[in-house]
Amino acid sequence: MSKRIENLSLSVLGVCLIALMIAIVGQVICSLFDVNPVAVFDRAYFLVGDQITLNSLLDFQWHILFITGLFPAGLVWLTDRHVRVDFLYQRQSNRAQARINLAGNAIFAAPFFALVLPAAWSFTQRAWGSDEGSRNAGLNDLWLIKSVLPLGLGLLAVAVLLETLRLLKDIR
Amino acid sequence: MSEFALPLAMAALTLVGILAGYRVGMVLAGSAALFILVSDLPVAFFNLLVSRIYANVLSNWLLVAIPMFILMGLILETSGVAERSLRAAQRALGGSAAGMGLSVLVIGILLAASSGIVGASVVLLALLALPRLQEAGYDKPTAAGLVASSGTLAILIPPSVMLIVLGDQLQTPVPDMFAGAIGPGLLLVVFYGLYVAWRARSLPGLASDERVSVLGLLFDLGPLLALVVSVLGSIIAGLATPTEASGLGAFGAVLITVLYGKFSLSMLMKAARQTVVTTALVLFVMIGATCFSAVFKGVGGDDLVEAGIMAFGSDPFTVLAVVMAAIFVLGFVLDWLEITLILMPIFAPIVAGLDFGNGLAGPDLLIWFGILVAVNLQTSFLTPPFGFSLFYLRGAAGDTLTTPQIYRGVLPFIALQVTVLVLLILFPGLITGFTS
Repeated sequence: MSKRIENLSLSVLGVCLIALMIAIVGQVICSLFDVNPVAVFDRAYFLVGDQITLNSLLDFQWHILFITGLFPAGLVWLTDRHVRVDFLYQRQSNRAQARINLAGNAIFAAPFFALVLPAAWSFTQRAWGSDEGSRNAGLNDLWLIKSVLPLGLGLLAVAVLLETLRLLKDIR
Repeated sequence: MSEFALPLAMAALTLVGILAGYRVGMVLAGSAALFILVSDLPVAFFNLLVSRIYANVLSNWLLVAIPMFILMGLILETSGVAERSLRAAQRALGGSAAGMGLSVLVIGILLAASSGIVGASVVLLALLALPRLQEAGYDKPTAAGLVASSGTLAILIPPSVMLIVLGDQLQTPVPDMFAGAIGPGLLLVVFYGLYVAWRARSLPGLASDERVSVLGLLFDLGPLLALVVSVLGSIIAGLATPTEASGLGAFGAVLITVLYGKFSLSMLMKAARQTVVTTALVLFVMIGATCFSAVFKGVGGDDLVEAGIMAFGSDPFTVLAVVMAAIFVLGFVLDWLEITLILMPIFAPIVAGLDFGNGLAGPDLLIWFGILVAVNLQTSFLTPPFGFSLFYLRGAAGDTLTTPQIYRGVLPFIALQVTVLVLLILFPGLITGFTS
């Protein structure tokens, strides 16, 4: 089950990256031939407003970075692929490794989440409250992408919690 | 001394956490949170950190180039295009023992420039080139050293992800960083080449079993060469931003796989999924480091580091030597990413205020310094016992190489790199001569 969730989310995000590549190519071609705005609509749509401009494509690019950079953090945590300096760690027994991870979760992860989650939440709320949009005719609804911040960090917190429970069970 | 108690405790806790093997990004983020709580910094300081994470990392348009360059490298590797060009170059240059060594070096450069991933290029070179080098009569240490150091060029030769992150930290233009790395890269390649030719001087020539056609060679090497040159050239000439060039480069890599009939959707997806994981872990360390460096400065860490460096004397070259030595030593245990993200925000202002009497000032000075750091970090990849390239090589070579053989093999190459580093310090024109 968890394997399938992992596969699915990596594939979805992988497709996002390929879309990013295509967006960059599109943006370069459009600016080469001076096509701007790329598309104009007769009514305003969600996110894009009433036209897709070159700046919409530029905004789209960092939105993808934002999503692919942050969303998988929890997943990468659970599959234990985050960067470790492991020349001492890898020589430890499983039990000792579990202790290091438990201690780390308590000393480092707990205070981090205690401070970052409320801060990230109020950060998004401010954007929502002021209906913040793009400053340069790019994509609107900035609160939407900003909400990825508390969401991604929240998923990471859940991953750390799940790992902690598993380690506590293992160590007994 | 008591004024330094907090930053010292913070540095110590962070180092212990990292060396214990806990996830680096979380060690950095967590010690930032802890030291907000124990110092007199307000808890609201974290609101500022969240804004910084948003502005400097997640919505940083420059960093879009990171997943795209990784994707480009992984497409070339996953599809087998990289392997194909290595074989082609071997056929072309493999007539003599020296030629075989040089072909490994040449392909190392091409791989380096197109992938920018040290792990990928060292492993690939080890799998493909180690057996050939030994057939040609190279002793095991020399073969190991050549493979490790050619593959490690990936981190220095542009377009490299490390130079993008360094430029971002130092606030120097990335095209200038790329241009500045060309001279040092070429110098290293020439030194390596001379050394390999010298080692191969008494080895017998090889019986060539196949004729090489120029057209075939052009078909096997041309597209990759064209991709590298156009990506790099368009950035340095200012035709494309690094981000634009990275997206076009990834697209170009897809086109090359189509040209060779190696394209498949599953290949592309495999490369993209791997890129997602790599990007997420790079960005997580960046998020942690953003928190760490802001809080470390907040509790007076930059004063501590400055006092520590100045304790050796305030002569500019002494300061530079201390900074370089510190980076080199930390490179034994830390990765380039951590060193760049943690130390550059602290070292850069110190170095920026110095006058080396070589006519460099402002951005030029920082570009020079940044490239020196890059060459230095590159060396740290090769330095026993914890050089990452050595781990990759040991893993890829299996039982054919022993760890002492690898250590002995890289020593001459490390000596060459230190020589180059000294040359670069003495003659900054080797770096700045290529920048605009």
